[in-house]
Amino acid sequence: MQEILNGLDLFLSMQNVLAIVAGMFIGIVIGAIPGLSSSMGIALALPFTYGMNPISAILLVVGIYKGGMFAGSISAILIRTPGTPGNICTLLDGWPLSQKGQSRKALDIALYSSVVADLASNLALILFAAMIASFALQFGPAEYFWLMTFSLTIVTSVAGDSLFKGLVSAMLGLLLATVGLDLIYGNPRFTFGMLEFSGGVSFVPLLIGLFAIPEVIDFYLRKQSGLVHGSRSGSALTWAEFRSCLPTIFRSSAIGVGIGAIPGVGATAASFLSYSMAKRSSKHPETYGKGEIDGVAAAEAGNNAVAGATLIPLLALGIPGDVVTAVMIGAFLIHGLSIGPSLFQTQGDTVYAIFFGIMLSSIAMLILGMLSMRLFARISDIPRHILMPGLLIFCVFGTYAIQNSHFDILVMFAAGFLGFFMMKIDLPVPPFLIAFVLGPSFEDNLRRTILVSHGDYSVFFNSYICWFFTALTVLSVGYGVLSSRRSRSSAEANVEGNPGHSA
Amino acid sequence: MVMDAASQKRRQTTIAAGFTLFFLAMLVVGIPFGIPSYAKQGLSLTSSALYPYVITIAGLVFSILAVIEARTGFVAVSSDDGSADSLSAPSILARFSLVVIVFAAFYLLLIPLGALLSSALVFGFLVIFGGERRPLVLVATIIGVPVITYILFAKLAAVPLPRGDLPF
Repeated sequence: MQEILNGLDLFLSMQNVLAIVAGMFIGIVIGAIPGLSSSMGIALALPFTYGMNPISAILLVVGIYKGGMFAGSISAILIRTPGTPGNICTLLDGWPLSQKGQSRKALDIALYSSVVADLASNLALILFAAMIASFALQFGPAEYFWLMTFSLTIVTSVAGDSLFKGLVSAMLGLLLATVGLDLIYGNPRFTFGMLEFSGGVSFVPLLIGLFAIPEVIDFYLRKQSGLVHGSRSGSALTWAEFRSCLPTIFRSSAIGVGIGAIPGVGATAASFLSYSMAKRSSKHPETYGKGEIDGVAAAEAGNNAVAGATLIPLLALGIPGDVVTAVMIGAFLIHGLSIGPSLFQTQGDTVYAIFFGIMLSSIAMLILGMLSMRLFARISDIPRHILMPGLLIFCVFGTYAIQNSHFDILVMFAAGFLGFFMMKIDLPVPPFLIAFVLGPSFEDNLRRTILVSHGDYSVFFNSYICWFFTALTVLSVGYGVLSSRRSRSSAEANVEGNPGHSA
Repeated sequence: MVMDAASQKRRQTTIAAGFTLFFLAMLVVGIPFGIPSYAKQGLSLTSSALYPYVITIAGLVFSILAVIEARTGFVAVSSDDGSADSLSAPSILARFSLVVIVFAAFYLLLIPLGALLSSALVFGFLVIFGGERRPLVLVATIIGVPVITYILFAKLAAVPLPRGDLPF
């Protein structure tokens, strides 16, 4: 108790409050610009923290991280370009809402679900850090393999009209993820002697290309009449709409916290899982992907709940859960804080002061989010013939910014044409992207398990975690196939009533 | 434009068959030539080619099932036939070629001209192509948008964007 009071005393200073607000502001600006990542923002901010006290420094970088995570939804909703990979799912329903002239509603639910999830994540960090971290430590390659397998079954939920086309798309994503050096032996695969492909196909250029560039191409091909995009933002989210999304937000927050506590899985998988669960538990799953606010809520709650939870293994065990927390270690090291179990024993006051600041970050996110959205929502006002070339420049600069690579721009354009092609032949992009994201981890854990067990396959079932995820996988596949058949049957039934459209 | 059901079925079958051919080509040509270690290790349990091989087989099976589904089952009728609104096919092709040329030009000009000048050129061309004719709007956006974007990335985010021969 004394440590908590000391922590509160340490936290209560204007510098700490300003640090979290400034961090959140920087994070929101960076997150809303495709190509600029939270890790880049933190890396740039680190030198400025030298003159700060340790608590302010940590709160600044935590603010950037959380602000970036939320703000990626802004560009996903308004210009179909996710600011971070964790916001891919947000655009599935956010962009259709925007096209219907309801961008304000989409932005509102993105913000509110992010804030609720962030709060839940912070509480989990404060209350259950040690417990969750010890559970996460029980994950070996076999457990990770089953977790990845379960995550891959999401493709059945986002396959669209044809389950088999969705699966073909997923296989293409898995195949593309094998490009580069083999993770176990370092043998080149599909690099064709090009050094640029040694590290595989870069994810962010692929992401930007698949989602943003097809919009640009499609615009110039159609050269749509009417220079103005539409109404600025539509109506705001009502309390009734928000309340109806609450169960989804709470469920997705729990998923995000669970996933975030496991090092190396990340916000993208959490977002996909949350979205998939929301769709499956919905009474009207057919509205997902067509502008369902519940879909935006699920995706945003899922990825934002990861932000606080990733700090659990970082603070409790010293293990970074993702790239951003790995960069954040720099801030701890600069200020002489050795993260891990000893941090709670030797620097208990500081840890509690950071916790108070992290709780404040949710409020800062709400206020700054509301202010920034008013500004960003004006993007919808820009005539499309000016917005599209501007978007193209953003895509090119943003892609170049990732690793200062000219080649990445080529990858982005190639991915753009691929995305456009997929759009035209009705091949769903989400299964492709889910498979591409999860593919390397899936293969890595599969092969590591086989190697470690020397071919003894019983290792895949030697813990209760393995059995738990095996059961979830079987249930998920069964449900996916069943719901796909059900939706086809209902579509056929609809068509029978309208023979002009039958096959 | 709405496609009739028979044409839609034919289209879906052709697309699925195209993927079947792609996965077959990957098995016969792609994997043997794309993974050099395949020649030495074959498809042993530790081979780097085993995983892509299994994925390709799975892709082949799913694409064949997609062909069967398209041939025999129900096919959802798409409201988009792949063309753009009421434009003719040659017009679409001309526009698509133009987009490819603009993208290629942006990529090729980025290093020699620098990020600022190349983006201003591309932006200007696309805005005019998009239908903007008001001189004031043209001047303001062709200068304003690339400069603001450049400052945001190069100055505020400290991204070393290509500078070309220009001194900024």
